[in-house]
Amino acid sequence: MAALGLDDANLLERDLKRQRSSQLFSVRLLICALISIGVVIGIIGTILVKGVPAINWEFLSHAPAEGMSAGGIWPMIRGSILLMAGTLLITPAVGILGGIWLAEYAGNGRLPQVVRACISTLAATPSIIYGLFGLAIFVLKWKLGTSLVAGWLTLSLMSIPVVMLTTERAIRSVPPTFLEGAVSLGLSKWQALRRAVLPSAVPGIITGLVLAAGRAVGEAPPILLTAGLYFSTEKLTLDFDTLSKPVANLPYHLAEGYRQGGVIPEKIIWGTCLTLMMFVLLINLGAIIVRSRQRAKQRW
Amino acid sequence: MILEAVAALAIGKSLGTVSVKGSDTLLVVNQRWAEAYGKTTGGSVAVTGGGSSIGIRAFINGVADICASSRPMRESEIRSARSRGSIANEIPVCLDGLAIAVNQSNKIESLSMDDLRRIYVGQITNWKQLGGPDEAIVVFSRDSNSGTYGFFQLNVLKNQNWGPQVRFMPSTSEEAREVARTDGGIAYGGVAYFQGKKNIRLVPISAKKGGEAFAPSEQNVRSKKYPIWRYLYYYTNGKPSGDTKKFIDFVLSPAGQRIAEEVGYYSLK
Amino acid sequence: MERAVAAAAVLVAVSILGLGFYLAMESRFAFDRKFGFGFRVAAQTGDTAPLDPVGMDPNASLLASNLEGAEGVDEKEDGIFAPTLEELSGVSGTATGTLLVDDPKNFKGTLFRDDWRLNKSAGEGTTMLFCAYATPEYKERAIRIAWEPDASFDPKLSPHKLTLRLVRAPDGVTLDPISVDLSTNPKGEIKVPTWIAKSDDQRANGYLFALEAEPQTNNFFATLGAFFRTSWDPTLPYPRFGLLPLLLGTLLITLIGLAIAVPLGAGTSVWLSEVASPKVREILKPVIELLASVPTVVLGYFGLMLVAPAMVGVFGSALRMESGRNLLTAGIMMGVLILPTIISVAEDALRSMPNPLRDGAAALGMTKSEEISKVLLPAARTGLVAAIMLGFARAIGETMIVWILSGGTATMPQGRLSDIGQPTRGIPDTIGIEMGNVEFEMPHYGHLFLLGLILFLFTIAINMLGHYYGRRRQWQH
Repeated sequence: MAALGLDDANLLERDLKRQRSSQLFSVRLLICALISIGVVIGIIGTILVKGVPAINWEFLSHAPAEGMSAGGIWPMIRGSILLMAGTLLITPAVGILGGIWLAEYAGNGRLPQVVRACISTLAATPSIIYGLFGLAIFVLKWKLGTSLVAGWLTLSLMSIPVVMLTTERAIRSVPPTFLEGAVSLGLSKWQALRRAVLPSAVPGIITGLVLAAGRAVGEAPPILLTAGLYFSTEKLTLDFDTLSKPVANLPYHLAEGYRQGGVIPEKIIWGTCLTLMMFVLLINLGAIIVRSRQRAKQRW
Repeated sequence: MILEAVAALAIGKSLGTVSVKGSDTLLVVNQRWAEAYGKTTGGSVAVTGGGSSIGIRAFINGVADICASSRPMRESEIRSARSRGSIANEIPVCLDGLAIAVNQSNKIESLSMDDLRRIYVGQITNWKQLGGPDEAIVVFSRDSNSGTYGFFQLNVLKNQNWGPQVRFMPSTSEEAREVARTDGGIAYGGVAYFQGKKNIRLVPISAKKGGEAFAPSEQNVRSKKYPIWRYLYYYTNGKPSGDTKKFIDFVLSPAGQRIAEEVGYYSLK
Repeated sequence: MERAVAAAAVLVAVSILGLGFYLAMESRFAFDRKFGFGFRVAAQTGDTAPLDPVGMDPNASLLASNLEGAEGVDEKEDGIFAPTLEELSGVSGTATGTLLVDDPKNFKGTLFRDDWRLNKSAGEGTTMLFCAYATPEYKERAIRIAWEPDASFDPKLSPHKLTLRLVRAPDGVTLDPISVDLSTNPKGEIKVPTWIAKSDDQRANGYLFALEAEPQTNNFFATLGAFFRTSWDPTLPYPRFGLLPLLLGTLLITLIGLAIAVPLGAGTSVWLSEVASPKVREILKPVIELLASVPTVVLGYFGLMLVAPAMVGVFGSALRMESGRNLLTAGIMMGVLILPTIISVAEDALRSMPNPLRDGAAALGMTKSEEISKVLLPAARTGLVAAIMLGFARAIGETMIVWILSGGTATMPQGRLSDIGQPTRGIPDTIGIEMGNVEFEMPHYGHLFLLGLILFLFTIAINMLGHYYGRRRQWQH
């Protein structure tokens, strides 16, 4: 048996080294992944563990009591639902139509490109900027005051660019043959869009809408400057007047609770954190399920 | 056009609910008042924070019944309110006195307002300079998030800059904790946060060097002998009436004032 | 219907313009700011005595203390008239006063003040006069004119050229012209020979000094210049609206966040995309994305209640932390915030790499690690850069995490390692915290909008970079 040549030995050693470094590399990747997943589970898990003991039916259905140190957070949950509902009401009118324009009418000219760039900038604009804008325009200039309406408008403004982009994506993901086929059957472009393209794109559009609104409602800064209410002994009714009044809501409750430093006991804070997190997570989960259901039904 | 219609609608105030807007300093006590008022009379009160200026602005625009403020309204704001038909009516609702706390081991008998200023602007850095032991002064303050920060800077520092060694704490309870474990420490804050805490002593304060020093006791603050205090205010449009008056009457009643004391302020008398 | 679509598009275009326009419009109030200047000036007892500390004390002035002690001055500050010699009799000092008129002949009955304090716009000049004389009882050979800046006033930051000048010496006294540049000598003293006013009428004939404020630039540039300075302290009587500590706070927190999230996120996304089995990936990716939908105020609270105390426990003594709310804690939670964004976008980018790339690398005999680091990562570069920039955009505008965890103190970093254990403050949280407490449509309000505008410009810049880096992506979260 011939001895291995020096070169061969070197090669083998290098190979071994490469293999070993490859293994090391995989291990490192695994560690990264484990840390990331650990962080996610750690945070969500901790909030669950700390928050669950605070949660019971009374907590979810009663108003705060004894100087915010007892009772529940129902007014805040109600406020967040109201804000969400209004945002879902206002956003689609502009967001979805704008998305359709982007996808089907804008084309790829220079101007639409600029508009698109602007919209993606708006989608990435910090929420505090929308808060500032809402304060300057809705609260001060239009004299809406800090009110539910001002909150709706601010949150809608914040969601519209995101909804436009997701709508555009949803429409673009429908194969172009759908539109072409319909047009060739003699339908006008708008009819073709409505009959052939939009029905397939609807799940994607709605998912985007709900995700955007859910995210907006979880943000504290815009609400802080436009719609927050700390506490009220008023009977919670829903009428025209509600629009002009500020509403208590979950993120504002947490933000103001922090500012007041230690007034709200820890247990209630964790409970509120959990409720807010679940509020947003459930909305997301719902949207994701709807989307995957629809995907399963897709015919292409 | 639709928006304008909404705007017109939004200005209309709701009946029956008293809205209190403004100062974050007052937010906690406002909430307690509202809650107790609701419990005893069934009346409804809505409390919003956001800051004194938000409250004052709401008042100027006529969208809040009561504006809660930790500072007196400025002349320009009163004028601006008047030009829109709101006459600012100032009602002090409680007294806010800041206590000065040091570590229990510190034997200093009293401090003058000027000593305090010099400590906080960094001109006095050792207790020795005030006749105490040779011990560096560790200065604690609230951070600029809080209303007391501005109050202290205006009234004690006479608007001078904070010294370089001042340590800013996010809450008064953290200040108290630090002073309790730091021999040379000094801090300020609402008296309720320091009273009865282990290892903390409240220092009597004199208005002038060599003048008589007073502890931040209830009588001393109320009689203005203790020098670090301020009023906290409600503003209403003209003399309050109806539900607004009922609520303010409750606030000024012994029951209402007792709540203010529980929160750490001093009652008016 | 098509019209409605076009109308929606127009509306969006208008709102884009509107957003930028209104941020700029509201920031105009910043440029209404005044650049006040203030000096306390006292004529003090001459050669022998040490500098009188009372006379230079912001709580008092020589004039006031001679008359009635430190008390009561503040309330009546605007109403102090020149004391008559009779009132001053028995006082062994000198008396001084400032005239808020340009004409020294109007001396009689003019308001006296113990300080020079005026609010002027940067483009406006002014002169204030100041009279010094000694009372008949005065024995020293000289009067000392001492001055120091008003509390919180820094002459170096003033856009005006501030000069103290001797306008006129009294009859019978000859003196060389005196002119002091107050920006370089903010605190100092000069001595002049004693001159005694024998009667009340003569008071106006004493030494006459002028404080001259000469405009050097207009208010717009002065405001802008002051905006790019190192101290943010808007509630002082001479407010400082320096952006830099806030900008640095925001950038440092963002950098720490990126330093944590980028390596971790890159590793995780490579693992998810290249190592993990499809089934594992299908489960884990949505789980990680779940974190992206946790509201930031909740993350802030999580950091406050669990991470901050832990930080003090671990690094407390090493970094001399006073409290767990500091740059490092805020940065770490910022890393947590952008981690899922980075993982999600980077993983998408890696997955979108065509399989032949991987097969080719394997055919060349590359190990998995070589395949990833030499082929896939370079090929997916634009996507990875996009992931980082998306994280950057997210972090730079984040309000609640910084608000809750930064400690809230606007200080310039000293350039030492222990800075990361110190409290700081960023741009978005400053807007959020202070907006409720400003007088609306006043300079402070305007400056908060100016901060918003800066943040908006950053967002635009990052987006432009994103577009520049090729493929258009969804800039949403």
